[in-house]
Amino acid sequence: MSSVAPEEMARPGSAEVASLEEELVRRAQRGDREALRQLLGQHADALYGRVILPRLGDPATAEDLLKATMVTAIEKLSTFRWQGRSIYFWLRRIAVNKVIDHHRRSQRAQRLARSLAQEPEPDPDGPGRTGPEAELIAREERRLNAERVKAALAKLHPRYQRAIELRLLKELPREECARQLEVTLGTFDVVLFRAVSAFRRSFGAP
Amino acid sequence: MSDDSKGRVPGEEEEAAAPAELEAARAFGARVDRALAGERVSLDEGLAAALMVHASGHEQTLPVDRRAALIDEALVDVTARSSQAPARRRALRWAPALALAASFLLLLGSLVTLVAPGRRATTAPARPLPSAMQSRSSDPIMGRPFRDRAGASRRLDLVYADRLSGYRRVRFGERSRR
Repeated sequence: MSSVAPEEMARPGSAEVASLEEELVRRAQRGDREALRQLLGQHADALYGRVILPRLGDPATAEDLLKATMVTAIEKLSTFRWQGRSIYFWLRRIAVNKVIDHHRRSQRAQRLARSLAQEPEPDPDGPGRTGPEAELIAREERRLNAERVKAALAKLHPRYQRAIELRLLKELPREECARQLEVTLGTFDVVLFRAVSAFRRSFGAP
Repeated sequence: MSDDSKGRVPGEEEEAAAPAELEAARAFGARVDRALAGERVSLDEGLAAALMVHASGHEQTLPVDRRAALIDEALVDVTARSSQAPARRRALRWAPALALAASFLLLLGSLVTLVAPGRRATTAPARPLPSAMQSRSSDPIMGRPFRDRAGASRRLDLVYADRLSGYRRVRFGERSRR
């Protein structure tokens, strides 16, 4: 069996890709480490960038949780049953549970842990039903991430919302943010500082 | 941050910043700059929240070598765990069977005890103990109770009940009247 590059596996809309992934899963379940490596490599970025980090913020901890996710996945791979959709959804569930467990361990992030536990998952009958349609799954994940933040931002003062949008979502330099808010740089810093504190309270983050 | 000349109470977002807050906010802004530029910055809860918002709008990817290293580490961890604990896994594998066997034996023992009561009847009757090992009657020492005092304990009970009833009447009757 020839190996398949992750980027090739992630090409959207290909039934061939689905059958290749199914074959990879079967080989990995039989103990083929190279297949396992390819399978994890194919989904590692999505799990890190779309699932773990947006629920955590801390890149170092996100890497730890990604590794913990992969360890659990390897240990439980024999229990996975191919049901015509990408293994991504199974891996995603493990990753989300790791994040929730992490927040539960922190006394101050209990509310965030509870709200993450109640979050909807990407529709299992939607993208990925017939294969790892990476682009569609990614779009759905981005939508979920944006909605989570939008709901928390909606509870903030409009000025705080604007400060967060300009600096953290649009990534404008602080000077430009200050110019757009018509304040000095020092004042913008204070507004952003307070905005993030208010966001933490609204979001239930620690 | 500016005086409100319209007479209403300013909200938190409008309050002037104390020098300490100004300093903290400036440092926070600078750390956000460095974190968004991709530097590894020591995180506090505020910065983690800021990066959470940022990561929700900007998908981050791992460098290819870091991704490969994490996969390798995960594989090594699993291998180490599986080689470190084979005995424990074996014990865990047999634990349900052992528990089941113990429960079965207990159940069997209980059934035998319940279903075969005759076994007890068939055992030989206990032989009487020698008189030296038996309790002696106190009658030879103290004599039998006198006939005219035979009902003394019953009279004592009646007196005690009467006193207790009187005490309750005085004690609780008074309280209920208050």
